[in-house]
Amino acid sequence: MSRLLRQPAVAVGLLGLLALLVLVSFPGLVTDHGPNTQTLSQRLVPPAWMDGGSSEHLLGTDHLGRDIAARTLHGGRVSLLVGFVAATAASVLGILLGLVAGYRGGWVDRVVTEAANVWLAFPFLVLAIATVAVVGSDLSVLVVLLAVAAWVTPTAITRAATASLRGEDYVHAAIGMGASDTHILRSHVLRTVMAPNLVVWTLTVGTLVVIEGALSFLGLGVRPPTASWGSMLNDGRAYLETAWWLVAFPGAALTLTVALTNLLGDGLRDALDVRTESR
Amino acid sequence: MPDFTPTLTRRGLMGLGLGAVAAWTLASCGTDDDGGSGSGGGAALSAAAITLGSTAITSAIDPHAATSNVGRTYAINVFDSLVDFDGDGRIVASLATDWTRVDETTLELTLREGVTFHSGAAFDAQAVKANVERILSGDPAYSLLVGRLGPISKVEVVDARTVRVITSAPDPILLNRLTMIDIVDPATIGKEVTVETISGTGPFKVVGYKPDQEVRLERYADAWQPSESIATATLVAISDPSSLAIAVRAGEVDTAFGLAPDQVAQLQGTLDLETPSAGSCAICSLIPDAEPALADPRVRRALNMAINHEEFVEVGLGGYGEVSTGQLLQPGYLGYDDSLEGFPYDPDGAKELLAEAGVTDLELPIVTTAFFKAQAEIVVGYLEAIGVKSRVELQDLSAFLGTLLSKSEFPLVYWQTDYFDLQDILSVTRFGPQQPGTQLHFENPRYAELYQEATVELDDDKRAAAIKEMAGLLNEEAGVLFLGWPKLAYVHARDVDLLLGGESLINLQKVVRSA
Amino acid sequence: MSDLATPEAVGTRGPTAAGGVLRSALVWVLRLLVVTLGILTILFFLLRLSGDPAAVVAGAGATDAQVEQVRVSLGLDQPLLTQYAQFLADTARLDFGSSLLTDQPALGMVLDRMPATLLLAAITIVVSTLIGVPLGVLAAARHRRTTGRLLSLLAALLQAVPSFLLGILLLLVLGLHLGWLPTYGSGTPVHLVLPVATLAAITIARIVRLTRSGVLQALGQEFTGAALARGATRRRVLWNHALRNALVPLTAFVTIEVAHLISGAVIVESLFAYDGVGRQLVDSIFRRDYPVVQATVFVIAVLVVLISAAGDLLLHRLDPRMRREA
Repeated sequence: MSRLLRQPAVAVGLLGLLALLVLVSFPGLVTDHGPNTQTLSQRLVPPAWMDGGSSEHLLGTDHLGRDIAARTLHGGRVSLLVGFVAATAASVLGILLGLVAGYRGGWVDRVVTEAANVWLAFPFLVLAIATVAVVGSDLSVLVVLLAVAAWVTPTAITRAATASLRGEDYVHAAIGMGASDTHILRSHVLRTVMAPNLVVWTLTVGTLVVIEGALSFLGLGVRPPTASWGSMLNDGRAYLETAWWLVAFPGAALTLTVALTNLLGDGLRDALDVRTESR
Repeated sequence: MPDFTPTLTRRGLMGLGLGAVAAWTLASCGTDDDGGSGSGGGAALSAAAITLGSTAITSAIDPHAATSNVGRTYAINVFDSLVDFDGDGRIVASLATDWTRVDETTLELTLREGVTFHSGAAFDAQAVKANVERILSGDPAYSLLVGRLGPISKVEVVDARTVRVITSAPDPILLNRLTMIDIVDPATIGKEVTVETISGTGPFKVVGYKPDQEVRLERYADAWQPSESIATATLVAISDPSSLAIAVRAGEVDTAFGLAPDQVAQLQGTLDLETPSAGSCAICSLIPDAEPALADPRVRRALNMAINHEEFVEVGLGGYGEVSTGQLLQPGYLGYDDSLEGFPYDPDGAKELLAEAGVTDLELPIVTTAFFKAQAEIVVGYLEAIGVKSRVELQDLSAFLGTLLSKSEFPLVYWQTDYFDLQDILSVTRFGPQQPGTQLHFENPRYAELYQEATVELDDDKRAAAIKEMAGLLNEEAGVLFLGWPKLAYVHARDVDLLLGGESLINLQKVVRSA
Repeated sequence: MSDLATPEAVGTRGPTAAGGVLRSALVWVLRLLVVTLGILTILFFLLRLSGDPAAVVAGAGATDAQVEQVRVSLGLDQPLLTQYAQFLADTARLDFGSSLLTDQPALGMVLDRMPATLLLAAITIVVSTLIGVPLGVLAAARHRRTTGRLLSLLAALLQAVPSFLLGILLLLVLGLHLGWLPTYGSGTPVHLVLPVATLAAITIARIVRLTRSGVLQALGQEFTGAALARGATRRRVLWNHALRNALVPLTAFVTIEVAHLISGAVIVESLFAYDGVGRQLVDSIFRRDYPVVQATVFVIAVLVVLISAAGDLLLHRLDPRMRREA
């Protein structure tokens, strides 16, 4: 772990995400406005440093007079929860399935492959709309939906990589020496498939935060007036030219999160590669 | 039974990208003359083109099979009905020139002479009979329209120029209902409806149709009411309102309909605007079945007092609307009561009333469709300000219709009670008598009784009295959460002179496009 | 674990011998049947449990009795299993029925719009690959230098921009202010530019990152080191050995992405009023127009299975280790 932290990218990525997590968990550090408190007489107030801005609202207010700073921070809870929890769940599920399918082959592989095929060919939106119609758009429902939406990519990548490793000489050698399957998977295969999966994971975090916004676009996201970055961006796009701050701040928060996870992912990948080389 | 579909469908559908009202883009703008008021002769007609953009277009080119009011802009330009509304909501002649009541259930109409369909066939009494028979045939494709025709049971042909419309019960708004029947060429009935076969008597004929995308229309020069300025029109659907706003700014569409109120406000400086009344009232139904506390009139009154009505109209409706005087109908409709008053904005008083009613920890989520998200969010803000917890539940159209029509799990339902299509309170059926087992939105037997009375009372004064009593009950009991009377907003290019007809729709033959 | 030499060990892999071609074709047909049957079954129950089209067909003003009448005339009053049996029988004859709302044949409605969607998806994938792969290789080759880091960061940021926002930005700049491109519609090449740009932005970003990662991983492995030791040029190693390694996950990804593009371009189609199946699908789900949803999902399923077959075949050709297995 300490060796990982010596990678500057890992350190910066982790610290940055941690700071973001703290801010989002304790929004009171920055603003005492409630995220849903509306003052319609103070709509579309620009950020404090602009003409017409007010020190009352550091980052301005939205189309219903709600504090953008408060909504961005509170919205971050939803977005980060959705992004990280769902992406991690999808990756764990995908790696497990991919390893088993790729290594064991046979009917297990067929089942996983066919399930992935069924899933791929099944339009996600149909599932999302139907699920939301039956159980409503609760936060936990969203996390499950998004995790389920994202499991195929890590599975397919893991499976393909595992299957091709299975043919490697050193794996044959290890099997020949009587190594157990779990040992081979853990010491040889898992390490190799971790690198592409880390990249996929960092991709997925950002993608899922964005998909949550897309669901808002279709009226399927978190329940209003609860904020999420995606829904703030969707609400704000009608004001792109007249009140840019509606989009700019949640957009910046989303961008920062994605940049940090990316940094972290790259750093971890490099660190893991170093070990591969030194083997 | 009539219905409250108009606003709900018009707006609600659009919000879901299903609706379709027209917007118009100018494809080309050559005009031969200045589109003044020449008469029907082909030589005097100009060749202006127009493109109407909206978030949705008609769901079918067969007007009887349209599944929502969003198709009305298409229908009124291609077809005619027996009678029409004028701009003030009065019934005026169209394909029928004269009418008299023979008895309580029979109306005799004299038909206009010399009218031809786009196909060249002549319009006559048989055509009227064939159309009504088709609609009443029981085919589910026409069920939306059947809902609006109420007690109309059949049509009898007296002679080629005279028909009798028979109803199963006295119907005071029979003429209003007749405005909803678009007369199609009887030769097309029973055949597959295509661009080639569809034919009406209106000033425009259909020359192209891409479902959910566009309808192309061309002037029908032999129409009895020909279009003078506009020769070709394209009705296009751009389902995303932000994209539609950009298209109208870029001049790729000439008019835009279906934008959110605040988008309209942003366009106001650069484009012209028509804002006719929507003939509707924005409300939240208060459902005691879902939250027993709502059975207490004090609680319902408190909720009404939590709303700053001026501010709601200003923000929620973008300023395109008016504060309701505590009743559904707007001035000008039969039964409007000018002695009623709206509810004062008094959050402190509202809290006191809630305390007096002994209600604490009230939680009132609001269910609606995505199109009304911003308005419902505003109501949430007001409710939270008096200590009531709330949130918005968004449902898709099919789910929401079930919620609205039969059973809501949520105590508040945001919708708009449209009455523009029939121009009468009978359009708002939801508070009237209900089938057994249907959830009630206003538990007041007297109201349902009065509604029934208004359904069959032929005397206007007595009807007006009944409707006023209904309004009085709803107001006194604070039966719904009144939010405002919305207006429609048509944004259009400055060189287009947009004259809107009686149903606040674009009559293309009256549109003038300057060179 | 001893059946290493059988094709099963690496999944449903293609054959090498001539006799295997038939067998492989059979496997694919079987697979197609399994996948479509699975999908249609899930879909059938999901749709029916989540809402009722009768109210939509009857209209918001209908009475309960009218709604019930519509339900009967649509056959929706039958027990679910009876409806399911009927549905399977109809589907087996490729009879998807007519739209509940427009009465148009459902399959025809889908096939009418499919070419536009396929065109959009194909161009997006080709453009994204042509731009994304070279950039990804570049980012890997220069991964310790500013170019590489910048490319990698840019790719990360690009995929953080939601398409509903990017689309509006492009519309505002290129459609409105510069006036270079039409703001809506489909049918001509210029109408494709904005939708493709919006979709490709995110796809390019993902391809760059995956290519970079695959190439980097290969560069760290022994066989590339060995190739270098044998005197192969760095450029040759990069493009021949390393890129080939990256192609495995990349092909898997592109297969998945095509599937997403076919069914999931709904936002882009809405923004640009583009005439594709995505929007029709979402509208139909909102209305619970079962026949249209079922026909759309069926056609998409068939396409996706075919595409993934092609993807697997390609993978098999590309990856020498997999070929050795067969």
